Amino acid sequence: MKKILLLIPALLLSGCNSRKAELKIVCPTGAPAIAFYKEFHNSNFETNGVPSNIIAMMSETSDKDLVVIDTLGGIQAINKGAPYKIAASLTFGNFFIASTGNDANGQMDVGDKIVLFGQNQTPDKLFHYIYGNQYDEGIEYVGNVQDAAKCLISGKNAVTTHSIDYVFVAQPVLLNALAKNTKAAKYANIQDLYKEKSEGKELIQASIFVKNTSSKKNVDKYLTQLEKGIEEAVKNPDVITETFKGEEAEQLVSTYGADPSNFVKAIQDNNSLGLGYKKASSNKENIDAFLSLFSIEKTDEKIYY
Amino acid sequence: MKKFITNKYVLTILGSILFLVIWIIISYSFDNRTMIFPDPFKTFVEAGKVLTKGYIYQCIGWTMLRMLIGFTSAFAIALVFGIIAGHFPSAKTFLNPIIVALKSIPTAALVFLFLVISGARFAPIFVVILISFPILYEAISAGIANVPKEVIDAAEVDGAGWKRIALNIRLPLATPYILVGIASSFALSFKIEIMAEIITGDTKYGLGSAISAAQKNDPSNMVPIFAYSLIAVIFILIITIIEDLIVKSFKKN
Repeated sequence: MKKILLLIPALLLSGCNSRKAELKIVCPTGAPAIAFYKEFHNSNFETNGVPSNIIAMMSETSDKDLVVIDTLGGIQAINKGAPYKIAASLTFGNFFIASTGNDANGQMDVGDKIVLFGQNQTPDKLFHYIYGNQYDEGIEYVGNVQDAAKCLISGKNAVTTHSIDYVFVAQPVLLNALAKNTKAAKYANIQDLYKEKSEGKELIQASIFVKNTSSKKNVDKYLTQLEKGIEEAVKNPDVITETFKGEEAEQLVSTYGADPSNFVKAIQDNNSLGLGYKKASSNKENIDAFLSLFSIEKTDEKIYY
Repeated sequence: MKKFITNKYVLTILGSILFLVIWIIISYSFDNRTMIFPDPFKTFVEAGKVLTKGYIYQCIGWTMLRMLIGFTSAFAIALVFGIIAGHFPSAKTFLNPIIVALKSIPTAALVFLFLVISGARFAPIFVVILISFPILYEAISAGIANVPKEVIDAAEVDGAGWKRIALNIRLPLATPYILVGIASSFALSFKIEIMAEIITGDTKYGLGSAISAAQKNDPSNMVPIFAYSLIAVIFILIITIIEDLIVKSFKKN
């Protein structure tokens, strides 16, 4: 009996240890989520359909060791005291401007109707950084990328009933929209325009943040695996299809935010998903340049993992 | 003829037909109805397809489970505070600001708090508690307070203490009020649970998560969203019918 009583706490403790070795990860659905294609069955990996909710998981009491969030949101949370450090960037822009086919001269001019999503957020800031304010009189805002895609497919903004000429949109919904509106076409690659305008700087989108109290050994090991997985998927996107073979399609869509085949197509399309892996500490210059769009001062070395 | 048009079943069928007619009229008023407001025909076909897959049953199960946990917890808390507030008018006045705040506070303001407490998967439980607790509390406290004074006076003359009066006299006599409270908030809780799954962003099983995923996957196709919603409506309808039967059998007894 005594032995059994001694065994119970031992078993409980060993359970605690094994749990500690497993890192808890949270990531928004969409482009960055597909970087975790190998984690579909990992019970410690979760995605969230509302990116801003992820900020709530960067608190002191949070059990999340690794948090993936847009770089701006993550850095702002750290500046407000979130106990995390930026480790690496995982997506480098999946933004495009697409023409609906309604503009007769096929050239974005002053007065053309342009749909942007996310007022005062990354898409809006990028558009104005690249084009300035010259097109402002024709801009119409919609709430999210899904609504922008609807405008691209129908060539109309259902809310204002205006005919639309150009739409700021992101992958992978862009591919889906192009398939549904045969008159629509890619007009501009925002990543390239940003690079041109910023004299070679790279657009930084989602990054992975590490909790200060997480085991460095486990985190390093995991990040190495993640980097390899991403490189593999970018080189050969079919590895994603292979990994998901036989899985429940609806649950895959719910977890990753789109049908994995759309992600695969976007990667095959010259990696228009912007998927990659770059250590943040060696990419500080690009991160600072991107954050300056939002009037954020140069980041402190201390926040880099 | 009069008997025919006042028949409960005939009226239900006529009401359902009217609902479908309104649905068709709204749907056909749009050029691209698949993108904005799909018609009932496409929706029923899609719902049929969805129902052949195991995924939907897991979604209904998880939504139902979280809703039941939230609703039962709200009921338990409302029962305690409702009995106290119904028995002591001063306690009701004291609790009033909290109840008013709970009734009017926008859910979005507390989502972050719920996410921190329990994570996205179980945060909808707190949303259900937040919204259904005030409804249940008011039904219970009103039921307890409305017990005839003569009955209470007679019990006090017989030497019954406040606890005995509250639990053995007031509570059984308040049952019709409580049942009305349950009936009006149970189906609402199911709807709240679905909405809460969308705003908390959970991507595991749940009707709200399924609706959210369908919208993200193909924003130009509202048919799957309407199909999931139709299944939710039918499910709530079944719950309401069962609820009515239970209330009726209770009243008979």
